Amino acid sequence: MSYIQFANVSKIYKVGDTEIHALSNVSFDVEQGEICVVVGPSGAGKTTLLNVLGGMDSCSEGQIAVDDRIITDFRKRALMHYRRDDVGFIFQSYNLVPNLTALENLELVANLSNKAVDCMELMHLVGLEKRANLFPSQLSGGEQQRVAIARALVKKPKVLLCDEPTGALDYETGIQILRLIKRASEIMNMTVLIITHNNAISPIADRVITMKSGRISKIELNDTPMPVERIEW
Amino acid sequence: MKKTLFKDTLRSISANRLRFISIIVIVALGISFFIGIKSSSPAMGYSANEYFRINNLLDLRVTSQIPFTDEDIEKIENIRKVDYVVRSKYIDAVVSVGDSTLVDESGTELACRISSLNIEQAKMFTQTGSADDSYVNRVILKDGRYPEKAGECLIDAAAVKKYESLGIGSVIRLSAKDSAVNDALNVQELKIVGTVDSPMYISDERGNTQVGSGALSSFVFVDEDDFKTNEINELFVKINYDDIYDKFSDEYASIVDKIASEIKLISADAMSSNLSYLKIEYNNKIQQKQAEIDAYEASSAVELTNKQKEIDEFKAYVDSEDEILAQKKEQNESEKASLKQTLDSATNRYNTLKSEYEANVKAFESGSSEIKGYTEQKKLYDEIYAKYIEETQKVTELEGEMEIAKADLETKRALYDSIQSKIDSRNAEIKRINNDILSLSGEIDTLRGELSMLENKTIPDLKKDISDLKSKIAALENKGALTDYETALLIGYNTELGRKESQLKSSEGKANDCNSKIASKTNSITEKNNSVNTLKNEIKTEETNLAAVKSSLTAAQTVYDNAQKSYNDAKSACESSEKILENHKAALDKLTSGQTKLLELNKTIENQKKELDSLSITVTKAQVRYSLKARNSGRELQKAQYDLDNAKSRYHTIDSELTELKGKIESQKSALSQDLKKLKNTLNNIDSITWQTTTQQQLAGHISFKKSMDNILSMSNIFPIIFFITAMIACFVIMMKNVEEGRGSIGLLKAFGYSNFTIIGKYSLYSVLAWLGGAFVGGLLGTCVVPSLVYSIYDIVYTVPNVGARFDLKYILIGLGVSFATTMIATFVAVFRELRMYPAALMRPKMVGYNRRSLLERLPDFWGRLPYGIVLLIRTVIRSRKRVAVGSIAIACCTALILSSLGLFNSVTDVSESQYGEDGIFKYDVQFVLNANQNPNESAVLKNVSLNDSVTAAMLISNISMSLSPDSERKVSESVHVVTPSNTEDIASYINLDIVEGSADIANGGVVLSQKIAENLGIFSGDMIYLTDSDDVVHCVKVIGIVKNYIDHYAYISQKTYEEVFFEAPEYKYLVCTLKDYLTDEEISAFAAEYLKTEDVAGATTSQTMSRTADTAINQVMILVALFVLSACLLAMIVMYTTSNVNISERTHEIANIKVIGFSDGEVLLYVIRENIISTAIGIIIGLVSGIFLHNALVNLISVENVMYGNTISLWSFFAAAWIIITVAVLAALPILFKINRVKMAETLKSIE
Repeated sequence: MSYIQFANVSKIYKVGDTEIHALSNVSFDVEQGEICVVVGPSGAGKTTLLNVLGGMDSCSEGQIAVDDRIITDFRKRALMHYRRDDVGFIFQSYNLVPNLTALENLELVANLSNKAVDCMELMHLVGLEKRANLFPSQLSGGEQQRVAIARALVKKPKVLLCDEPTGALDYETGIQILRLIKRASEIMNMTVLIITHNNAISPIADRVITMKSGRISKIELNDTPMPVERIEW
Repeated sequence: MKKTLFKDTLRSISANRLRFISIIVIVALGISFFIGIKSSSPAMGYSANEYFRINNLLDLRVTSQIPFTDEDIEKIENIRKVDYVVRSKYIDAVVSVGDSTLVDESGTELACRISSLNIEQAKMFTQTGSADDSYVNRVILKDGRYPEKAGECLIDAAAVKKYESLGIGSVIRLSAKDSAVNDALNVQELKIVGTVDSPMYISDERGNTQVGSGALSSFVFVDEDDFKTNEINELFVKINYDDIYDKFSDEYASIVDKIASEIKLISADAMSSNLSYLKIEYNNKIQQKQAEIDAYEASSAVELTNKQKEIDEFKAYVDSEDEILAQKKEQNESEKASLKQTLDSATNRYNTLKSEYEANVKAFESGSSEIKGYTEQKKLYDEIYAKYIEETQKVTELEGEMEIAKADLETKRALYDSIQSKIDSRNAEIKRINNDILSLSGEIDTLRGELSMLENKTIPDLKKDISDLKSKIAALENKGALTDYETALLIGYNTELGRKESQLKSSEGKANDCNSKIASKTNSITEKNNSVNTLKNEIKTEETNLAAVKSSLTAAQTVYDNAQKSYNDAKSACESSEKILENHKAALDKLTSGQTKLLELNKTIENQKKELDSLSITVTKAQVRYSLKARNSGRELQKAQYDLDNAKSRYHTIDSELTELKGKIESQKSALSQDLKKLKNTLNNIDSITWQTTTQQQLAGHISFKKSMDNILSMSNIFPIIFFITAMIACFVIMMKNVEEGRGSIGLLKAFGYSNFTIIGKYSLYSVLAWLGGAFVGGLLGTCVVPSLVYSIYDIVYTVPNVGARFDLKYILIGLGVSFATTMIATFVAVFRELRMYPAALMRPKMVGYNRRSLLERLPDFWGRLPYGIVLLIRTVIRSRKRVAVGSIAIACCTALILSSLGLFNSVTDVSESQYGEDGIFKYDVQFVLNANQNPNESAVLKNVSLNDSVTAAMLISNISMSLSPDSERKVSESVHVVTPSNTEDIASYINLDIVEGSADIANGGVVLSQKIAENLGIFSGDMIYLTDSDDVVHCVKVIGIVKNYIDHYAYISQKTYEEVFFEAPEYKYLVCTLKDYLTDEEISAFAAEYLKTEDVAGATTSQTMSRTADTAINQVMILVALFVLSACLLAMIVMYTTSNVNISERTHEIANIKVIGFSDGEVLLYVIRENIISTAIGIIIGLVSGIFLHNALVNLISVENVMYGNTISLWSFFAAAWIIITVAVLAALPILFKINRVKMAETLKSIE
């Protein structure tokens, strides 16, 4: 059985009388330790897919299994624990708590988890040990995103979900971030899902899923992923 | 404004309805409370003024001890600005209902003011609502009707409520002690036909008087014609004051005071012109009175002596009569005793005999019942006997039959036996023969054995041996030559052969012999067998015979057995019958003996009966003799007793007549001497006599009404303002936040190119709408509801009707203006701040204050070691310090409001307990009002009460109301109870003199004053005070100490000092006593009631009734407290809800963020409301501390002048206040939890790109 399994997943939003099919009948698998890139134009349902997988939203039909647990059956509380222990999120807009320093943002998560990694070590990993006591507003975008990655890694998640992680960043920084994500995935044997509309990222993935209007149009397996440094956009 | 923008504003209102409503409510609360409480006092003033105007209340009341002359009145009327003067008559008197004097709440006699009333005018006013100007102080009929004939009256409606014994239909009697009262009215008894309110008495206070305890308790109106005199002693002056409406104002006071002083001048004139005339008149009056007294004493003495004589004579007669009766009684008794003895002995004898006789009769009866069954028994016995004889005969018959059968049986048996023996002998023979046969066959067998032996062995053997020998011989012989040896051998063989041959021969003989023997033997056996067979045949024939014989034998046996059985049956039957017979015989024998005895007993009984009859006659005779005697003597005695009783009752009548006469003479004398004293007093003080003036503002009720108004006014300077400020702060913050929240859209609008003015307009619209809503609701509540509510609290105390909403435009404008300014300024400040920025910056999230570091962080060692929770807490505080500060202030204000309100409750409830309770100021349990002044050394009542088992101590006290002033000019004064204990040393047992200042040792001269009046008038120990008595004479005395006291004002003074100061002895008309601790409240009431029945006691008050009256007066404060607490709670709740609501919508992004991280709803709530918790905690602490000060200020403001409120807040109030606020905070947090639950992570996080 694959590590992540989507089986006929549909998500329908009802807005007034009209139904919006954000996801319709999506099925795919991702193996453990893989880096999977989901590409597609805006409105293709990528973020919905990520939300449903991350336990932030429910799906209307179908079944999602992560590490042999069917998360579509989870109740609210179980979902909360799933988010807390198994999933790490990275957003385009970083979403750091502005009121807390970089290190404290990590500690916020570390306090919830019982398998937390030492926060300072992680700051080392992301190369921000010297800026650990600064507030988010005092950091650049790339630095903020690195803090966000470190924050996502604090709890050693099984799955790392990244929603346009490089979307707000320049090329250099974006490469930096992607390298960091890839390295973390290798060190921790994490399964990574990266959502992007930037097709240039695809070559670094083990698996590329292309989406279009709520459907999967193509799944490509890449036996020889390209090193991050070599991609460009 | 653009239409779309307008629409946008309306949409944003409806999108967050609750917040909009919150703003409205906050504004409304602030405004309503501010306007409401602020206008309560003016509204009360307006109501009162309207009431006074409609009821044409006097401006000045002028009274005089000497009747006014027309000249005097004319002079007054001529004073400038005096409109007109109305004449009236009044008299003050102590009243009673039935036999008991009424007692007021402080345990003193009820003094009433009886005034004249023009009934026609009053009726007219009640019917039409208007009246002639000359009708002043118009009364309001509350119940019943107006008097229609003499002797009917109207009474104070409040008094009817207060005293159960007063009511429509009850009759009040005026005290007969004062002859002035008798002279004043045509009637002494007044029937109450209606109850009224008078504008002169708007509160419970009625002012002072010269009768009773000095405090006026009630008022009564009678028709003018019921007054005997035409002397006018009371004038009501109406003043022409034009444009001055407010009667509580100083302008009005100055006008009236001026006129009052002018009247005083006239008074001095009038008096001095009358002085010499008056002096002569009074001297004459005194002489007349003295003469009257003398004459009365003389005549009463004669009357008394006559009466005494009469009674003495009668007494002798009664005594002699008494003696005769006693003698008669004795004689009768002895005669009766001897007769009684005779009767008793006869009766005794009769009774013993009778009992004996009855015992015998009883025995006879039981005996005869025993032998009742004799005849039946006998008959039964006879029957049984006959049966028995019959049975015996039958037995004999059966016996014969049995004998015959027996003989037959025996012959048969003999025959049978002989045959049997024959058979037996034959059988024996056969046996013997058979034995022979057996032995013979044995012999044959032996013989055969021998034979076979011989034949088979011996013979063959021999034959063989022979043949052997022969062969051997032959051998030898054939050899021929024989040797010696062989020859010997041959010889031996030959011999041998011979022997053997012989042997063979004998054996063959033997064998033959045996054969023959066997043959013979076999023959004899055959013979024997034959004889056996013959024998057997014989037996057979015999056996056939035997069988025949046996069957006949069996038959015979059966016959015999039957016979025997029937015999045996008959025999046993006969035997049982015999036994029964014997039993019956025994029973019968017993009965026979009983009958004999019974006959003897019967004889005895008859004899006894005869004797009894004769005795009975004897007894009856004795009885008759005795009862005759008894009746006769009883009648005699009764008659004598009746005579005596008659005599005695007549004696008692005369005696009581004497007592009555004595009493009458006594009271008449005291009344006369009282009159005399009064006249003398007046004469002595004639130089200082002036008219008394009382201005409208000086009326007792008006003073306290003014005070209440001032209380509310002062309260309105604290409570509503704090409240209003709190509301406005909250409003300000919410409005600011509201704008900040919409900064994105401001940026957008700006980017579109809208002008700043338009954007401000959009937000102003929102604010104006919110303010309008709040102002409308708040204005309505503040002008209509709150003042009425406040007034309803005072309605309990004052009879002034609530005329309705009357508000001060000033306060309304202030309230509306300040609230409008607050909302608008908040909006403008916020909008302008945003508008300063560039649209791009506005569309980015606000980054204010996030990266601020606390001082603590500059100490990395320390900061690093702090727990994460604390770090988060400090960051929260720093980040939202403004909001925390505002929240803290709002909560502190609410906490302070609640705490001070609860504290007010504590202060007020403590009062009556502290005064009358177990450990209170007044330690005594009951206070009696006595009918007459007592001498402490020989008071019968005191002795009587002291000896009661329930009483631990009792003492006489004097209690007189006087007016106390700190200066000789009496500018300010308050009424005080001057209390004199009859025993100075003992006062501590009855009244707790808890010293605040100075000393309580009144024995050394000076007075000890209660705390409240000292505070009110600014008196300290060592100061001199001026006491004005009922005769308007001022006395000066030094204050030596000030003691704690909670209700009313008291001045304690020793008897010695009293005499020195007032030049007369105190009147001991009150008796206080402490009772045993274990008595219940009911028992105390019962104790008081018991003494109320006695002649000397006119009234009684127990400590519990005193505290009850005090409590009802206090309750009014409670409603105010409740009002304050409730509104403070409401305000706190809304403020907290709204601030956290704003907080939430500002932080939805953050909430979604930490929810994604995996925070549970509870943890998110804690994360979000952390600042609320902090501000609540800080607010509570600040609020509790400032509440103490607020409470202190409040207590000082609301104090009623004669009640001393405690100024401590009890511990539970602190807890309760904190608890209420915490509850409110929790309640306000609940909707937030709901909101957190609804935050959609995905959408929220997506929204920021």
